[in-house]
Amino acid sequence: MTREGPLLETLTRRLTETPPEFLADTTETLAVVNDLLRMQGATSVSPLLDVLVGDGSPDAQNRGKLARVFAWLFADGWFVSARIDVLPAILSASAELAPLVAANKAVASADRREELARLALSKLDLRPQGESEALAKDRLVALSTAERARVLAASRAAEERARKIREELARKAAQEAADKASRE
Amino acid sequence: MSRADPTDEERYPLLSDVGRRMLQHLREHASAPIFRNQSGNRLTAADLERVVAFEQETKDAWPRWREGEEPEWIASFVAHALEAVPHYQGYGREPGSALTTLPTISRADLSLDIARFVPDDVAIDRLIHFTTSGTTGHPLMVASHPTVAASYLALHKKALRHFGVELRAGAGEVGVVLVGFQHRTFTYVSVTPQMGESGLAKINLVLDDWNEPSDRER
Repeated sequence: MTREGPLLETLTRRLTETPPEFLADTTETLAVVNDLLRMQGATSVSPLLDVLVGDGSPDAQNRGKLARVFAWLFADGWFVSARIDVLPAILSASAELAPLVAANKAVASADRREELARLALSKLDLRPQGESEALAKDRLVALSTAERARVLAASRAAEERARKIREELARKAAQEAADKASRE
Repeated sequence: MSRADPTDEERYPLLSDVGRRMLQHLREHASAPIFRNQSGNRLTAADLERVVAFEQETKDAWPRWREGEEPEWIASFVAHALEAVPHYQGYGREPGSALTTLPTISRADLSLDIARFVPDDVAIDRLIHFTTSGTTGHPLMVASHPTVAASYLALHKKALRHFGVELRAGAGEVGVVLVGFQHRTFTYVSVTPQMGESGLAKINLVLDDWNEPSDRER
């Protein structure tokens, strides 16, 4: 997030205007993303696009939808004129969010729209115009579905470990522990 | 023996014939007391390496800090606790935080959930369990590790050395006898791998613990 990007409000507003076709099940993700890349000056089809060829699973479909939403976002004039290579950001952001949030819900919620916009910027090492790097990072972490999922998973793992420790200690309590020269 | 009782292999993972003979000697000695309990060092080869290294460090180390200064080891110890111990992770502090800036804990914190004080990098199946005597409150269950219990010896040796006493016992000898005179206490025999599997006995001089009162003198 070392460089300043567009205004956050521009991006969140653009997301509220996501065309319904971008979220339709029948829309071709490869075509949408490739159109964006051509708009930004690409002259050939990137081999990286192959990862967006889904296997028809719900996760793959959701990833495709999210990739289309990010493509819509990056079609904003600021990115087009900046001529930034946005494909890695689309692939990474859509992969990160796909298992965690449905694309339709992400676009429908104000908090998730802000998360989509901030995540998209962060993947390009950008921060919203007028924000400090620290503020942009804090805000992204606060909104991040992935971070929330990580914290929840860590918390579950910690509780599971604590449970196993209690069980092990209870089991060992039934035995007698180790030699201890200071034992009373 | 209940089903929960550990085997000799679990109690003494490094037990050799020398150690086995010492255990038998202590258990079956004609004047042996009634050993009320069983215990073991539970040290693996890797544990023993750590314990021996600790003993060497302890032997050579002397306090190097001055009044008003922190010992060198404190900073890394605090950093490890803040990173790896669930209770301290909950403080949300940077690993470089000074010890004096951290809240103190009480016996109640330990009593509430001792699992939160077990570092994440400790293998659960190696944990051992002690219960405090309850002298200063309700008995407290304390999670520990075989290397912790075994490391006491290094400190005892250092303290004895300060007074000119050197523990020299080795294979085939009895190295340490802990003698109590209590209404009731934990008594057992074991061997100490870091001293050539010399014998270790914890005995109680109270009459009830002996077949013949005069055995206490033999």
